[in-house]
Amino acid sequence: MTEQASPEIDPDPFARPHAHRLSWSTASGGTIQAAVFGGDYTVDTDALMSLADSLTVAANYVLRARDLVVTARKKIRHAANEPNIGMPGFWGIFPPFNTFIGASPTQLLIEQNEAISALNELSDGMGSLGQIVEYLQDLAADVRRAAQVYGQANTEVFDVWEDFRQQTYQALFTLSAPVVKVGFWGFSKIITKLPKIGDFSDSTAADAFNDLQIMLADTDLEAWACSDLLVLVWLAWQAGRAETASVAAQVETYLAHTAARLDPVISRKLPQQIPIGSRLVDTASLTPMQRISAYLATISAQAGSDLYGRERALAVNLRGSKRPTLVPSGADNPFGLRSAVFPLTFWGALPRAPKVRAPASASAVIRYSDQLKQTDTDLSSGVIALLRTDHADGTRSWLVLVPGTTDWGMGNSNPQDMLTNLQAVAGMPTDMNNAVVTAMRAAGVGESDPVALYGHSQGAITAAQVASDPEVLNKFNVQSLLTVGGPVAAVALPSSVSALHIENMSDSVPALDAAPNPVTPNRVTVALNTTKSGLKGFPHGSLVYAQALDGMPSDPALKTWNKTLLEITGAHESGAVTTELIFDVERLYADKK
Amino acid sequence: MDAQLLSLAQDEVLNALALIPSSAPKSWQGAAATACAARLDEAHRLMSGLETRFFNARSAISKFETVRQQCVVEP
Repeated sequence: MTEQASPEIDPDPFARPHAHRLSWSTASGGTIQAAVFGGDYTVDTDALMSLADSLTVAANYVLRARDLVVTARKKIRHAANEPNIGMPGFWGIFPPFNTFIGASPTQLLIEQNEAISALNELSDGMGSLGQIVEYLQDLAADVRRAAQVYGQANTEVFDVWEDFRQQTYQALFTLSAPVVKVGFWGFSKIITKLPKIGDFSDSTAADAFNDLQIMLADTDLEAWACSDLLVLVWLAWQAGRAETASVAAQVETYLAHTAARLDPVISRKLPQQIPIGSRLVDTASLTPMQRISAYLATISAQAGSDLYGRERALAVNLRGSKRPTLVPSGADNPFGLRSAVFPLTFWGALPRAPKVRAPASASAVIRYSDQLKQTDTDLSSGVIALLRTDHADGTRSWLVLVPGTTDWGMGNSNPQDMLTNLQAVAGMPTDMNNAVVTAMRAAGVGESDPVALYGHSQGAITAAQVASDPEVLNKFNVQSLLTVGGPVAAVALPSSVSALHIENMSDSVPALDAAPNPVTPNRVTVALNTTKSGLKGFPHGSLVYAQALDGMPSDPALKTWNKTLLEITGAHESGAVTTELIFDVERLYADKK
Repeated sequence: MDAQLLSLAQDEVLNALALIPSSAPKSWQGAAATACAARLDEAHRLMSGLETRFFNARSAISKFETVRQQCVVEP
């Protein structure tokens, strides 16, 4: 039996099939633990069990050999007390009336001791049969345990996960009560009952929430449902600020619980089909969280439109170029693919791109994107980057970097906002999906050029949706995907894309989809436990992820992904030149307010 | 007779040796598999070390049997 994918997956990462564990030290002297599941690395657990059985049988043979040696030793002990030739009566070593001929009894005694000593060395002590029996039994037990871990028959979990579960259940009970009484208490009181994971000081977000609250009040939803929806959005907003696994667990549990409760009410308000990527999909086929996100996204888009005006287009502007690419926004133009986009080279508008050092690892990719976001001071627009590598053989490949949310409002000029978050979790078309694909087309990414996509948080969903959409894959050769701290479970990736998903157990953002990542040969998820890492900062922060991955030992499950990344970035490759193209992304309005 | 027991014991060890592979299953890779392979090597080394001990024990028993045969008592 080969342990690999399983259709039924437990939400607890450590209880999922095919997980194996790693641990390594951080620069700050702490320890990272991780569970790795998925990937094309499969272990034949039958072969391991067979090895364990063989070792057990071998140990039994050696044990029988030892028993024979012990019997031989007993016989020698007694042999000195038995007569050598037919003697009447008792024969002893020092009989007072017997006469010895040939060898003396003393010599016999010496040889007896020598033989017993040699047999002792054979049966017991270092390097003896006895030690080998124990050695083989231990080895058999370890191999059997390894087979059980790969087969996940072992229910043993890390101590932290026992805490995690207990706190989850506790959170469920403590959080359910106030929400049921929402009509009585009101939204502002509810949030004081929620986990203390930050304040409500972001004015943009507060405004957006107020507007959303007003819009929800106009619906025919019952009060509890409106409040649950608001709390759900608030939790999603706060998810990136969770500092501990316990808070993340509370957020995650509450989200799943709330989604399940709201689903019957919300499902009735949605059309039978909604756009998911470039396709229309039956609403019933979505997850409860997708349906609720779809509803919230629709309401939020309306709230954003009331606040900022009706969006007419998306501007994707290469820095240094004077010719922004405009694509119409909206669900009828998913990924911007239904609009003509000419490569900037066509217009002669591609400026000289600066040479950069190609990232050679997951942590280097994360750092590169984090630096991109940190240096982008204009929050009125979003930012993405494409790293183009020209190889010595004349071929070209691309790494697309998509940072996370920068604006917590809904529908402002910066599309890396909460509205995109809600649309993205639902799987609906987003401006960021349009932005990434439009930037790829404007940069001149060729149909056969190998492409790797990276995204953090919201960027993770964007990157995953781009990497999974059939229409996008008809136009681009996407080979690799790296998502960090993103809810990407609902994305159905094709087997042609080698994906690595990095999640931190203390980060509740990856859990916003309220579902575990699929375990498949081409999708590897590394679930990090950084509680003893000594790393500073919110677990959701991309730099914390990068630091956590530093020093991660090589693992066969990540072999394909690492190889593909190096081939695409050209890191360590003689003659390869990597250049950087940065795009700013902005929503444009027909009637700006 | 005791030497015969040792021969039987040595046969059992040979049976055991035949069951211990020299490497871990091919589908198993990574640090745990490498550690397992090293422990299998060590098992083979320990088993090889038994040969000398069997030889020493057999020759000690042989000497003892010889002396015992020579040590004759007359009433």
